[in-house]
Amino acid sequence: MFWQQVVNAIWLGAVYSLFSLGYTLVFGVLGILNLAHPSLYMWGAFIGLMCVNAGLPLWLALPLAMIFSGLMGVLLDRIAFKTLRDRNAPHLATLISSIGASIFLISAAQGVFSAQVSRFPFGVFPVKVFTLGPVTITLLQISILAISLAIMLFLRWLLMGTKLGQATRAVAFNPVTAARLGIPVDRVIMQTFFLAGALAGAAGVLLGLAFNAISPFMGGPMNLKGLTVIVLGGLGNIEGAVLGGFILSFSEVMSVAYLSSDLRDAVSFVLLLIILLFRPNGLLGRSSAKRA
Amino acid sequence: MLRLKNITRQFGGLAAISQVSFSVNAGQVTGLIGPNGAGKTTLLNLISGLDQPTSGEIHFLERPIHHLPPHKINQLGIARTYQNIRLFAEMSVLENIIVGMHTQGRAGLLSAALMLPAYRAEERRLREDAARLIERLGLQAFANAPADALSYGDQRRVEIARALATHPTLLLLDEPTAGMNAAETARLGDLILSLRAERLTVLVIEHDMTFIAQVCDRVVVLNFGEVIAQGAVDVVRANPLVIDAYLGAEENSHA
Amino acid sequence: MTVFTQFWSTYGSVVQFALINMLLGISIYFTLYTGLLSLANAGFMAVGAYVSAILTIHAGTPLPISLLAGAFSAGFIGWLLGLPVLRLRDVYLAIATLGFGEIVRITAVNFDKFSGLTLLGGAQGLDGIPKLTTPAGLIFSLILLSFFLIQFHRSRAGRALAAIRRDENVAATMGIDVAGYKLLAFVLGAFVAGLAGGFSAHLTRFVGPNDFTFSAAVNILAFAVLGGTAHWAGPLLGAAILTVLPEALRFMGEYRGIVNGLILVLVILYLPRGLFNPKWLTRRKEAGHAQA
Ligand SMILES: Nc1ncnc2c1ncn2[C@@H]1O[C@H](COP(=O)(O)OP(=O)(O)OP(=O)(O)O)[C@@H](O)[C@H]1O
Ligand SMILES: [Mg+2]
Repeated sequence: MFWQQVVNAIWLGAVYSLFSLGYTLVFGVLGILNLAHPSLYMWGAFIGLMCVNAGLPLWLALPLAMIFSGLMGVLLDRIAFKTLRDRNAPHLATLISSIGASIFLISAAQGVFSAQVSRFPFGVFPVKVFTLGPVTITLLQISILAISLAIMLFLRWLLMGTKLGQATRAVAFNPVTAARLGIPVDRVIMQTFFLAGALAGAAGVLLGLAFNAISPFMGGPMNLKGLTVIVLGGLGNIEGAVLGGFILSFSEVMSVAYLSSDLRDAVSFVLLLIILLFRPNGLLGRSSAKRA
Repeated sequence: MLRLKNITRQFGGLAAISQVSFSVNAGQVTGLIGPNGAGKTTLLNLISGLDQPTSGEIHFLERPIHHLPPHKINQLGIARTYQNIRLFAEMSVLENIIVGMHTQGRAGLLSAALMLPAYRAEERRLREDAARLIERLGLQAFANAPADALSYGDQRRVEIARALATHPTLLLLDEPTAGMNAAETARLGDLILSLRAERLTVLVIEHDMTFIAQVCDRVVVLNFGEVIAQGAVDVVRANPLVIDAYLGAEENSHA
Repeated sequence: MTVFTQFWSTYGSVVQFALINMLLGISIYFTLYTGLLSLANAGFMAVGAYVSAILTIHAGTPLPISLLAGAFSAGFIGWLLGLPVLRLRDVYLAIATLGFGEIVRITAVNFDKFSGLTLLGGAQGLDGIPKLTTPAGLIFSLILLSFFLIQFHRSRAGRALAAIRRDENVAATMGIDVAGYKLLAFVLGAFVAGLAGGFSAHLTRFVGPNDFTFSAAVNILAFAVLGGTAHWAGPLLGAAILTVLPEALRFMGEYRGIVNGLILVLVILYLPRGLFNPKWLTRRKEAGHAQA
């Protein structure tokens, strides 16, 4: 029983982390809390579904969905954020703009797809169950875990081991200085939004497969989970988001198993509020969350 | 009256203020001088509570104040102006000053909402007090003009009026003559001396040495965040360390 | 007269919803005016709705008493929440208040189950609330509130908030207790939101846990953003427009929500002060200045 919960928490946590990485990346680089991030997640899931419905194999649908939601992220920045950034608008304005964009994207999905829950066709992924003593795990769950971890490792390499990553970190540290050092700040920002969107899209397809339920409103609950995760890890903190994803999945899974399924959401929000009140910079955070 | 003991303020690795100790005596005008970047404004921020020292103690009227929030410090009797004028731009001069009178009012929300006589009497009294301050600072012509429509020199005087409106016993001024012409500067000097005559204590940051000589009883000289000299104006001005600090700064700015 | 009755039978409820939304606009005005981005107003609305509905149903209290009880409860919860949460910076405050809305929802869903009472109606919500809300009652409250706002802005507290809005550090060095006044604005906003919740419960005859989630919070925010927050009339205008607009956009069907999102983004980008310009009210005074 316990080990089964651990297994569930691990693959779920991996997807939570994947989703939250893009969320926290944009905050880390630009200081923007992009509340439209969950809408990119939702669009990614729909695009993945459309690809599959069009007869494409899953291994192709996933990257296509990622590219699409990545491009959507870039577009989002150009339309909703860039003007504000150039004007040096207050945080509040950016936050509101992202809320507007998210409403737009959700409504558009309602129109383009359907407000109903859509599902992947049966058998899109081979149903295979492995049993290991008291623990069972499906091939789908193993794949989700493997793919999430692979993407996260790739991201880590991208940010820590490449010139692009170096430039990104420089912009995150201080865009003005970065520009003076000859770093193409605007391109770095576009790449950041592409990455964030792609990560959200990947999480959308994977969780869409796992729960086999895709709807324009699937971003809502995920938004609050994502916020909990990135606050846990410290806004803008990459390692923190991974840690936070697993903390959230473990506390959710364990509270369902040992307390009551009604308390699943409650646990995550209580966690969120406790962290905000007592460690607003997150478990690993440094920057200051309190007012000056 | 105000006592600073071993104050240090670090910004990252840089110590903007290090081990500063000095006192401001009641009823005197103390000058705080030093080259650009010496840490004068930082020190004022520490005293007024907008910033906290990394270490050290600040005592005002024998009470530690270095951990109090700014509004508490103001309520104890310390008011200030800003080097980069920070008036409430769209408000009129009169309104700016009435905001400064916040702590003199008592009327609560309810009595304002119901326009009780007590509220109206208080409003009348505040307006009269504000009008007196406006007159004292020679701002009658602009009382109802938006604050950002005034000239630099006039805005500085509005800032002083707003600070005085809080009824301070210690007034902190950050470069009050910047942007003023010679006549305005001389009049400001007279004002400060007349405030001193009313037993107001003043700590003033200034670059204009004539002005310092006109109003100050004592000066404290800051360089690279440290006190390098203090005492009577003439004595300090002859101090070779001070001359070096200023000449050094001159040379740097010419380089 | 027949024209009026015809109009009223078709649009009467829209008008009443517009009036309730205007109350909500005022509720968020208090916080936004003070520079706080709080998304807790939907949660406060829920508190007011549940408390007033329960009183009316179980204690048979007359509407004004139920409404006031709801509003005071919301104000009290606002005080409890505001004390710890208002120390947080912009983005963190937004997240914390979002989390609060979710906690209200979860509490509403689970309260009966865990307390063994039948009060809140769980996930189904409470229905059968007597329809006591009248247009006259709404208009009376709005007029009363407007009068209060006019007086408020002339008062000591109103001036303190105006100073905090412009420069909170300077306000603090003028002896203004910035944290205290922010809490006051937060509590006043909660109170008015609770009042609106009570009216709404007694108009739709129903209170459900899902009426007050993120999207409700965002709608309230949209009133203020569209109308502008420099003057309290701004959110009133915004609320009126955004309530009537969906009626006018019925022909757009599923895509209706797009307009809401688009408005939010466009207003923030191109009309950052909102539609309502306070100068409309003060033109005569300005002319006076010019002569002085
Ligand atoms: N918030 C801050 N963060 C980092 N460094 C700061 C900060 N505030 C001030 N400093 C640094 O502290 C030093 C002292 O600055 P301060 O403004 O106190 O000088 P000052 O004596 O008032 O100069 P001036 O005559 O130009 O007004 C400067 O090197 C400045 O860059
Ligand atoms: Mg200075």
